[in-house]
Amino acid sequence: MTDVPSIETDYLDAIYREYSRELWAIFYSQCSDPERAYDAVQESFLKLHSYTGEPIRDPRAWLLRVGQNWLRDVARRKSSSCKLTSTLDEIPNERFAPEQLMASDENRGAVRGALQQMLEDDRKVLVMKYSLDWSSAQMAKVMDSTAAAVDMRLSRARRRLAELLEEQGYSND
Amino acid sequence: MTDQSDTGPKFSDDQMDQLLHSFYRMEVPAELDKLPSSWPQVSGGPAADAQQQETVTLAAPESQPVHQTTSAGRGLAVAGATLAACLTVIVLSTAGNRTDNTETARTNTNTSVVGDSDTLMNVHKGNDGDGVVDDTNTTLIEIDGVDLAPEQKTGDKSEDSPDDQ
Repeated sequence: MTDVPSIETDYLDAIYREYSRELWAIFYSQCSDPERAYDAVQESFLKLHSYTGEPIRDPRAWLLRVGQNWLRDVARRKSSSCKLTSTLDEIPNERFAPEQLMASDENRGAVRGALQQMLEDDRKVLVMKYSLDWSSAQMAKVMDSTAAAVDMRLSRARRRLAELLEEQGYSND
Repeated sequence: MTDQSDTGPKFSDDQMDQLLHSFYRMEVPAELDKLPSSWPQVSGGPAADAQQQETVTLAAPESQPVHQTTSAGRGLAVAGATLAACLTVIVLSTAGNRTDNTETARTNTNTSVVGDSDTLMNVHKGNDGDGVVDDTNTTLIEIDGVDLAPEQKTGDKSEDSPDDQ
C-alpha cells in the first residue's frame, strides 16, 4: 500500500483545520452521537488521504458526502446508540448551573435524546450556532435560506428542546 | 434542571442559551483537535498497516472511480484479446481444414491412380514368353479363345437343351 500515491499530509492537515469542526457539527446533527460524528470525520479524511482519482474540486462537499455515506452505513448496521439514560433521582437539586449539569453524562444523554426527537434542520441550526458559533448569515448560506428564517428556526428549535426536556421532567429550578 | 413531575419553572431563552453552549462545548471530542498527520493511519505508525487495509477496502467502492475504470478497462482488454485469439484459432483451423480437404482430394485422386496401377494386373509381367497370366496357368491365348459371342438361337440348340440330357 505504500506505493499508492496519496494526498500530501500537509494538504490534508490544512483541509482538516478548515473543515473538521464544521463536518463534525453536521455529522453530529445527523446522529446526535459525538464519538460517531468524530469517527465519520476521521473516515472521510482517511479516504481523502488514500484517494487517487480525479482532482477534487470541492473538498468540503466531497468529505461531507463520504462522511454522510459512512454514517448511513453505520446506522444501517446498528440502531442508534443514543438513549435516554437520565436518572432523575441522581440530579442534584441546586441552582441552575449549566456547566456543572452538562458535565454529567446522564444529563448530556438526556439532551441528546431530546435532540434526536427534533427535526434535522433544527438540530443543524443548534449545532452551528452553539458549537461553531456561526452567525445567522453564515448558517443561512449553508442552509440555502435567509438570516431571518434561520433566526426564527433557531428560536423555535430552542423552545422545542426546552419543551422536550420539560416533558422528561427537567426544569430550571 | 431538576425533576418536576408537575408544571415546574420553565427554561428561559437565556438559560437554554447557556445550557446549549455548555452542552456543545462538552460534546466536542478532544481528538477532533488532532491533525491527520498525527494519526497512526496517516503517519504510518504501528497500527497503520491494518488500518490502511481497512480504509482502502472501505474506500474502494465510492472514492476510487478511476481505479475501477482502470480495472474494468483492463478486464475488457483481456476479454478482447482472448476473443481475438479464439477467433484467430477458429479462422486458422477453418482455413487449415479447407487446405486439408483440397490436399486430401488431390491425394485421393493420386492414390486412386496409384492404387489402380497397383491393383491392375500386368498381363505381360513375367509372362512375355508363354502368355500365362495367373497361377492356374491361364494364358491370354486361352482367354482369348473363349467364345463370348451371343448364342445362336436358330436350329441347333439340341446340345444345351435339357430335354436331351
